[in-house]
Amino acid sequence: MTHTCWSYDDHQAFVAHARSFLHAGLEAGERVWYVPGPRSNGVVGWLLDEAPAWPEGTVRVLDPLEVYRPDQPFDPAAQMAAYVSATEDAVAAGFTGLRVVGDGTAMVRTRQRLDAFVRYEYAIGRYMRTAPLQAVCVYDRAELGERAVTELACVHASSNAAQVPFQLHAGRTSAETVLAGEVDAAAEDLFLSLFERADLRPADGEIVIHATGLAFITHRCLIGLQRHAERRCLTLVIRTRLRTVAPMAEALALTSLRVEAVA
Amino acid sequence: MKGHRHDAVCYDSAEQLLSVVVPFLLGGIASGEPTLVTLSRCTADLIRAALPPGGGVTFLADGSVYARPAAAILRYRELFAGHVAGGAPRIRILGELPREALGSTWDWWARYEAAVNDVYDEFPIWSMCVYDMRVTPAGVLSDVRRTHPHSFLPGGRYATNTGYTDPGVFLTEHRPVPADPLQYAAPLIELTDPSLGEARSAVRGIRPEPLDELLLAVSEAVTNARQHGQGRVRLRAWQGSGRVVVSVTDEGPGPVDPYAGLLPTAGHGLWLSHLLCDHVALDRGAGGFTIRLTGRLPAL
Repeated sequence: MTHTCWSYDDHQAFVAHARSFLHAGLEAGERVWYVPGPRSNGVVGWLLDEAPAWPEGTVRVLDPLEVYRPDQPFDPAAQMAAYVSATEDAVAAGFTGLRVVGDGTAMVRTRQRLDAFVRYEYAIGRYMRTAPLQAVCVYDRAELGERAVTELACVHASSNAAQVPFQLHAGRTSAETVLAGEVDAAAEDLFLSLFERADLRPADGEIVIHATGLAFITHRCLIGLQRHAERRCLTLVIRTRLRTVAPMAEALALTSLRVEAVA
Repeated sequence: MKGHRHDAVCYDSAEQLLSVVVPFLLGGIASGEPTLVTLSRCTADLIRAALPPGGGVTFLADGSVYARPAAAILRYRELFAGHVAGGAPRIRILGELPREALGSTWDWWARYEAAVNDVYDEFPIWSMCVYDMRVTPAGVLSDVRRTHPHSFLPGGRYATNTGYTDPGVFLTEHRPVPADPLQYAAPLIELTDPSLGEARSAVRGIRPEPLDELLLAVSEAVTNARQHGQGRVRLRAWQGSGRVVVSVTDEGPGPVDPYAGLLPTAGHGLWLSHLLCDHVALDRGAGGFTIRLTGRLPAL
């Protein structure tokens, strides 16, 4: 299911995208939630106007302070459990799923909270691969700055931001992850930091990186992955079309990496 | 015993070649030294026929040893380490670069010949590098004399090369790299101070799209120029006849390490480029440092 990061400066583009996304949910028989931020509330009027046309309980505009509680320590597991429960409730109430547009800007204003939210975003992405939950996660670029927004965007399956260098998002299991895009010298630190925070758990001693969409990666990233694998006594399997990964791993004797070529 | 004895054999007849190398190989066998040979097929056949039956000489005949200088060093060092670990008192090597290495890519093989004086010195090695004077360009022979302390010469002479140059000096001096013929035309791409993404994107725009190996090397070259170079970074690319040439220039003096690219020193990026590209030329000119990368284009 869709898990998109939408960082905004331009309200008009955000409003158009959010309306389209929520409207598609209504048409598909989903329950839709909208959690606006102070600068991302441009859909409230339209959505409340739409609500009467749909069965009761279909549309809800939530108070962001109620959903995210920025005044309290953020608990990624509790936040995830809340959305899992909300998704199950929607299905139990006869909807085909739950669709959310939520502004998380208030949740990531400190480094500590940003770290925790990145972990949460990655983890909920795995749930969304199979559960009937779709979300557009909204962040105010003007308030958070480019670095924080890029960090958040990188752990979503897709993003509206052109400058996001790569996506590292959840695979089907906790032993799998998906890597696409380009990880060059300017993105190495971010990649390795996000990889640590993905909290991957090996299965039979292996973690698989599905990297068929990977267009570039440096040897420094591979060395970082090797260190990660050595520290945790596991093997990292990299499935890629890139012709450079296997020879780099061999030349650098990165024996905890196994590179598998995919067509 | 330790240390690399690095001799050149500059010959002008098969008889002269055999008169030097056959005793060298037989001496290795008699001394119980691993005796390795990496030669062109033609020369290997000549020498094999001159050796007594029964062998003892290992012919490394896969042809890949001298595909790229950095790969040759990597391969040889592994071989040497294995033999030394196995108790070999000394290792003898007879080597001949393929004929194409004496042409437009000689510059990186000249660097190899200079570097191995030091980089094999931790092992007990006696190597002979054979050059057929009838087909070897004069400029190459001049570099051979500067990179080998001694040469076997026609007429049975064994001479000290008075022009022998310390590898650290040879590898950091300004040695102009001949222009690739493609460089006589205007570049297809010309960028000033590109970001890494802009550099890759521009090179990817070439059709057919260059192979991943060249893109990696281009990105590493721009990374190095931005991080370690000085002044403006200029990227230019030319395309033609199934290959791409990309040059990246900055206004600094180039890598401090004389062995940069040939050994896995520092950040490894330049070394990996040497392992993966078809040719890497380094030019430390008065106006700055240029790395020129050559890669094949995939067949359509």
